[in-house]
Amino acid sequence: MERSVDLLQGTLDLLILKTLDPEPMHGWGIAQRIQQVSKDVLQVQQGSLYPALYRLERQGWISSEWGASENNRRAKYYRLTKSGRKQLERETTHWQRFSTAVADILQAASS
Amino acid sequence: MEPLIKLEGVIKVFATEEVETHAIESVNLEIQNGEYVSISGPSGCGKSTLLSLIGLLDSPTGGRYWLKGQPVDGLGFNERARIRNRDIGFIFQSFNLIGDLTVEENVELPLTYRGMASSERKRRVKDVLERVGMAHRMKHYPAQLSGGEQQRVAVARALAGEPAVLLADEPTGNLDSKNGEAVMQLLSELHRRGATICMVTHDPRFAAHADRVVHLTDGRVTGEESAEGKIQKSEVGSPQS
Amino acid sequence: MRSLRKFGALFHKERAEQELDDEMRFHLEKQIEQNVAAGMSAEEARYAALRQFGPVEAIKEECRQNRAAYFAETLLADLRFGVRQLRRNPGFTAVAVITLALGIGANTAMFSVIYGVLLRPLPYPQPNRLVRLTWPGGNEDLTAEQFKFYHDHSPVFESTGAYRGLSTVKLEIGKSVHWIRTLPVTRGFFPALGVNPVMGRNFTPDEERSGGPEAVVLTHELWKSAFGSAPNALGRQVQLADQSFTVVGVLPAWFKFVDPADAFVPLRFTGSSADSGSNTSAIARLKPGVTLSKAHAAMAIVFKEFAGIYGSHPGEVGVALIPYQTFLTGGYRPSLLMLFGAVGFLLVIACANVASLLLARSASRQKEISVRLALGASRLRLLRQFFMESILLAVAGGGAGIVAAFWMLNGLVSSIPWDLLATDRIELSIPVLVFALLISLASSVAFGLASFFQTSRLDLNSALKEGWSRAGGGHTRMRKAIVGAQLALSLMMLIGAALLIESLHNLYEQPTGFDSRSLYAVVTPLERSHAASVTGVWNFDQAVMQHMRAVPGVKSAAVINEMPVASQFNIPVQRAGHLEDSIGAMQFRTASPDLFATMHVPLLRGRTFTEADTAASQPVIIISESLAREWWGSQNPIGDQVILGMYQGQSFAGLTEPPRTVVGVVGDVRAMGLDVPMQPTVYIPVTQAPGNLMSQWMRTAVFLVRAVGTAGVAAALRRAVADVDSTQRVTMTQPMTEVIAGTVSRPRFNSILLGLFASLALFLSALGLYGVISYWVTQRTHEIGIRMALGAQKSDILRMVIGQGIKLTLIGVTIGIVGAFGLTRFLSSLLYGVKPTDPLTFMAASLALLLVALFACFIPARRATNVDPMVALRWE
Ligand SMILES: Nc1ncnc2c1ncn2[C@@H]1O[C@H](COP(=O)(O)OP(=O)(O)OP(=O)(O)O)[C@@H](O)[C@H]1O
Ligand SMILES: [Mg+2]
Repeated sequence: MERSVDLLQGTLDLLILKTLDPEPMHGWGIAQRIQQVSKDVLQVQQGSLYPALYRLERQGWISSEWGASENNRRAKYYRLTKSGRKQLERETTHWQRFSTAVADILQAASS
Repeated sequence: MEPLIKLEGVIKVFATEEVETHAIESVNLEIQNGEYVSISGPSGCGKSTLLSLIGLLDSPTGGRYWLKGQPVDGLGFNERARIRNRDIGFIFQSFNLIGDLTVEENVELPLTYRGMASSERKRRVKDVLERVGMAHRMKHYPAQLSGGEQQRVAVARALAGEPAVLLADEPTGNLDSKNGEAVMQLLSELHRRGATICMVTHDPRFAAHADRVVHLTDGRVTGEESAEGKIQKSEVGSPQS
Repeated sequence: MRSLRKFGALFHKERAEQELDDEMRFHLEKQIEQNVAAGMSAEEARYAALRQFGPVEAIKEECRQNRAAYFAETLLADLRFGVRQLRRNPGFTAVAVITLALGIGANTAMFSVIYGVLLRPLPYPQPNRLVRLTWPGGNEDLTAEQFKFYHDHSPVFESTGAYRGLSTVKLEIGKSVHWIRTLPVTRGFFPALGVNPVMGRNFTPDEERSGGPEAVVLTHELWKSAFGSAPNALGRQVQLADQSFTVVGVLPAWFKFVDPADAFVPLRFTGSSADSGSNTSAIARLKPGVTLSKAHAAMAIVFKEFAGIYGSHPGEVGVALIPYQTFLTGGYRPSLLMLFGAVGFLLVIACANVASLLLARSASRQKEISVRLALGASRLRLLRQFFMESILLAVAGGGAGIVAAFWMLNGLVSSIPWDLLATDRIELSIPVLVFALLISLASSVAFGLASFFQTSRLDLNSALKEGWSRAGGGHTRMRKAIVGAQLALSLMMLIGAALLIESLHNLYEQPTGFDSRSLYAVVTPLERSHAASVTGVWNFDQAVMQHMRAVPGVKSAAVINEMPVASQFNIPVQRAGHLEDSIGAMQFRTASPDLFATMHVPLLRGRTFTEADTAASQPVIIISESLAREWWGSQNPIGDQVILGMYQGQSFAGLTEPPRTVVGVVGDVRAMGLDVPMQPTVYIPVTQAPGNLMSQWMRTAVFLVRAVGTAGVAAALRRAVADVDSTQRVTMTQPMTEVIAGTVSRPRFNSILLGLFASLALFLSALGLYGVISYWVTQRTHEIGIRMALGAQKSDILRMVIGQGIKLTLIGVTIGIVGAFGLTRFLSSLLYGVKPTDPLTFMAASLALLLVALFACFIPARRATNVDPMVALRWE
């Protein structure tokens, strides 16, 4: 089994925002979704997920409310706010520029 | 010959709000010039109290006390201070050096209370520090010395004033056995050269260094033995209370 | 919405905590479900989930810190902790708050005064356009000629107004009588100040004309008090000083002028002697956009024109424009700034005391702080905790200080010896309160930082290991530095106060030229009925003196036109036949025959006046010693002649007299102010007073009475005046010594206040020194015990402890002396007869400080000698 990759803080923020883009979700759901979509490559540690959620909420990029989960249990749902959506756009372009830059360097180095 | 120290029926009672502690009850004691006396007994029996009475740090509640043939009970603070300064040398369990002063200044301290000329003080300090083997550490501060070294400096300080008697309260209590042994050797050496020493100790090995061991129990002298053998004291043989 | 949630979290902290729990539990349960689904037993699934989740409490704590309300929550906790700390140490808190209240209160009160009189704009529209016109280099006023010329020709003034001195007159409205103060002003006066009557109008050119209709403009206050705010007051005929006037206007309620006038009358230029002297005060309003320097340049040209037409007096080189506020405050600005500096020092000293107290306490809290640090409190959090406490102290101190300022201000304002535009402008206004708040916060930062730096330097490891016995050194060093600085500041203030007090003493020591003891002065502004003629005045004077001589205890009584030492009157005088022997402002007095005998002024040559010197006899004059020396040198002036109202051969209409014969020379008498050198003076008999001067200027009789036995004399003297004329007012009956004291009210105010502040500073510093030395003794109980065991006498211990304090004091004294050398020169304008660096004063103040310091150290030193060596040695 391949080892999963630890996430840098900034990256985690981006992933959380992206995951919440289509619909509100609870913490567990966010962790699951990231793991699924990344095909188990990215594993989110609870120890960083929840502090990150609180931090993002303080910054006003996400908001939270209590709702009923699948089997009717109370769960805290996080939702992307308007400024959160803007932040997501900013971070996405930022990330893309960053990753192409890294890819370029790697290519140049290997050739 | 007149004894250097003579206690007669000395009593010390500590009165606090609730209880009266009879720390010393009617002690008679004589110490001759050049003698090495050790006081021993269980904890709380009054050894330190007795020593501080002898050292004029404290005044007895009752009884009489002659030092060098002079009555010294009932003297005022400053008179007693003068006698402490000239005739008594203290060596404490916890060294009691002053942290802000260098070794040299610590040893010099009792001399400064005599109005002695500075050059004479310096000479004497150097002299006693050489005697205890600490002359090379004159400019050090106590915190920079080991426990054994600190106690040797304390001995030097006690010696500096050339007192009539050295009073040591468990001088090895805070030292490991090696350093403790060294300090005891030092005291024995001083005794051989004629110093009068009165020492409180728990340790029978160290008590053996003395000419005479005085046993104290509950503030009373309950026995004495000399280096040659046991001597029963007649009047304290059977406790009356 | 977000902020609402924030508050929600703050006040429902438990709910937030509950939700955090729920969220974590939900996550765990989900994990367990998943694990069970993957085939684990319930138990296995549970443990696996917990393992996968990680350290729950740590994660929760991190979430809490990231929560929006975290900062506010912990702030509240710190606040509560701070309050608890302060309440737990009521003694410390009380001392700190009182000390701060003192410092902040004195500063706030002083700043109220500074703000009210120096900073706050004058209560006129666009006050920065107001200027005062004077002769250059002085505060001397203009002549009527100059004023009229500038008024007519200046291109830079929008309006120009003039006024003369206040006079107290009788106002009669029908049957009711009021004594009011009127100020003669020109029409330009009101527009220059930017004020319009709210009712009625300003004066008309016709009313300014000599012989024109008499008109009066009332202040709002007088309109209210004397006319009951009646709207029909306008146009009313009233009697002012027995003349009929028409009320033409009422001024707005806000209007105040620095001379406290109740009503204004037209100032008329009639070519009188008053017009030809420098008696016309002028103010002007600059045209919009005209700067002061532009105005100066323009006025220089106008002055040249003036000089071209009228010629100019020697020394007259132009005209000065002084911003009106500067002009008004010029006289007391140095005093105020000096006092403000002093209270600033006081506040620094007070803060230093609190800092010192906090340091002592943080020393005893070191263990607690180390434990907190070890438990992971961030230094930032600790910093905030420290500041919270400091800020709480400062807020309490500031609040108490404002209350204190309120009390102090009452006393302060009533004792201010200067003419202020209006004392009600000195109040705890918003800017003053802002100032109080700012200095409170600044103080809290000052002493909060001091104690924080101390703690942040703390070496955690050794502090925990060794407890606090060795870690105290740094605190003590810092506290010693603080106390040294306090003592230095106190010494500077002490030296300043000593210099001022010495100046005051020097002033009192100035010879007045007469014996003021058991001499009484009775001032009567003459009723018109008495002042109508010289004979009328003299008859009244004689009658009053006769009644006064009949009062038991009275030895003799005399009359003069001006109060010795406290007021003056001058005219040009020339020695007959000697143009160069001219004095433009010669002190001039009218005297009754026994004036010199009554005052105990020595007669040096010739004779005094007698009953035989009458209006009909030869005109005579007595001159003062200094004048005799100046004009006659070693020659005998008796029989020589002088001319009143003549200057270098130039005569003045209505003033110049035929020559008078010198019949006597008397000792010099101080004219006006103890700080002004003796001025040459001439005396003439009251009977020979020039009639026109009498009616215009010399409307006051000052009776001087020598009497033994004080009780009831003052009242009897008043009765003596009433016996002659019951309608005649007596404005003042005072022992001469009090009159003289009154002339030094400003230097006295300065020295009393600075003395007070310096004493407070000294007290606080002594307290600081006491605190440090006490702490030092406590710290060294053990050492003192050892020293006693080694034979230290009580005096040795006493010397050791006091030596500590004196060493500190000497450092403070050295710094203080150096500082004072730099600072006292700013006092030089307030000093009299003593140099700002007077070595004796420096020494005396230093000695005083040393004595107080000695006393402050003596108390802990005494305690040190009472240490029981047994107990000290047992305690380890
Ligand atoms: N200042 C004091 N006030 C009250 N009681 C005291 C005082 N000093 C000593 N005591 C009491 O006097 C008794 C004797 O004390 P002391 O210190 O002399 O004992 P010690 O023999 O030196 O004991 P240790 O061997 O433990 O040092 C003890 O019970 C002690 O509690
Ligand atoms: Mg003991």
